[in-house]
Amino acid sequence: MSYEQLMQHAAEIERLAVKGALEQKGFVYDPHGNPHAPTDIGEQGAQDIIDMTAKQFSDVQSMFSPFASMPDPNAFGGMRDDMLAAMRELSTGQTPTDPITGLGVEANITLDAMGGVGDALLDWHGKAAETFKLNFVEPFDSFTRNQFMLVAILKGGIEAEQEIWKNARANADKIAHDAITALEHMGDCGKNDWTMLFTVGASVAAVGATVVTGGTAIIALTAVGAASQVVAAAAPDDPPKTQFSGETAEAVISQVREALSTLASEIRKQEQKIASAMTSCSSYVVAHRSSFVAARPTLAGATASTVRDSQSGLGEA
Amino acid sequence: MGVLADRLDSMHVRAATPDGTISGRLNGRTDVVLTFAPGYYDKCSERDLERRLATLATLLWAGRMRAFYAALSEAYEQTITGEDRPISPRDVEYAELRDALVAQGRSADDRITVSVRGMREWNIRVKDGTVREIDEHAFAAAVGEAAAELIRDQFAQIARLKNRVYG
Repeated sequence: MSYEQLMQHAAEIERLAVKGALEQKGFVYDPHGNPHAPTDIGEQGAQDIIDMTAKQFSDVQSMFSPFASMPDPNAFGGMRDDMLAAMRELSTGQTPTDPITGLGVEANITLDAMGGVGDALLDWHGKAAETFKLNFVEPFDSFTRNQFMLVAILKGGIEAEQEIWKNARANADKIAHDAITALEHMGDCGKNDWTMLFTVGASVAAVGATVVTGGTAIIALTAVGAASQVVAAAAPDDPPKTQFSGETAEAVISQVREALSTLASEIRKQEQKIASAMTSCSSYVVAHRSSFVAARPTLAGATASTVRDSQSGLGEA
Repeated sequence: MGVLADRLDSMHVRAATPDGTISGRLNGRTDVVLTFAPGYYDKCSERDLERRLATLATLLWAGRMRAFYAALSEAYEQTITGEDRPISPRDVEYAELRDALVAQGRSADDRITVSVRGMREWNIRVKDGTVREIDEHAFAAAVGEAAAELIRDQFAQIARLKNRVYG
């Protein structure tokens, strides 16, 4: 594939469309690529037809230009790697599997030390000690697991973005190549039919990611991932397929316009899937913040005079 | 240049008459090269040549269409072996007019005239006395000229026909 040459392909499509249209009007191209009118209509008459035909296809390149600067899927790699690194930091060893891809995530053994914290605090008594154990020590595994899930969901969203743009670039390139083939085929005997598979339309797949709440209840959030990487919960969507047909240069260019419009529409649909999943997860987190992070300790607002208070401070050890 | 144009430009199709007396090669889009079995050309008549060349043209064009669909399949990245039966009125009209289309070609020395209807019914005319007057190399070159002109004529007419029916 040659997405980087998309605008060069567009220029070639324009050139071939003009050539095809002129040949269909009876013009003959000499070996040097110059068109000659079929009958003696005079130099000016021929030039007028050539100019009119060139003008007819002058918007071909602008049709492709919005697709020439689509995001580079590789540019998401850094963000995706950062998310994976964050998952490793939050991987307790109890849930060492990426819920989106099903791949294992290396556990952070530093987190295992949290298991001994309770024993180390046996001699600490009072309100602050109880609150610390209740709010921080006991739910630590759940917080970590839930945060791990959130980062996995973000990583899934980024991988879905990568998949969209990888496929969108390949589809735009295929549309251009098919148009060139159709135009090169114009003067040949056979009918000019071709099929376009919009793989971008099957880029994003929904997958469930569970978080725990209240230590026992399990909530399934709808996350998304790259369809080629997600744990197969269900068969992936079939990519939309469209049959095109064009026996004249005008018809081929009209089909190209339709194909590009379908491509844009499929990109929007896939982006919407990601946006919906992210908005839904974000709303859940906002509404259930206490399942993801511990409440701000009262001690954080303590002053020198209250730091040893038995209610709001450390109390007596 | 796209994949299809590249493949059509570099296409090589070979065919031979069933008795092996004449072989032909289509190089690219229009370059037809003939070769004769040793000693055959000097012994044959113009009528023998006409019949055998018509058979050879049928076989060569059938091979050309197979190669064309292979190139088209490669360009579109999907298997295409022919065209669907025409159903719409315009497709039916196009198919009928294409089948009736007559393309022609003639050698520069006027010795060879080639015509074909619908790229199926070939008709070759070789001027009397040709075998005696020119050798097999000159004859093969003349056939190549006529064949190239016929193929160009066919494609030009197809382009105009598509514009007329679908334009």
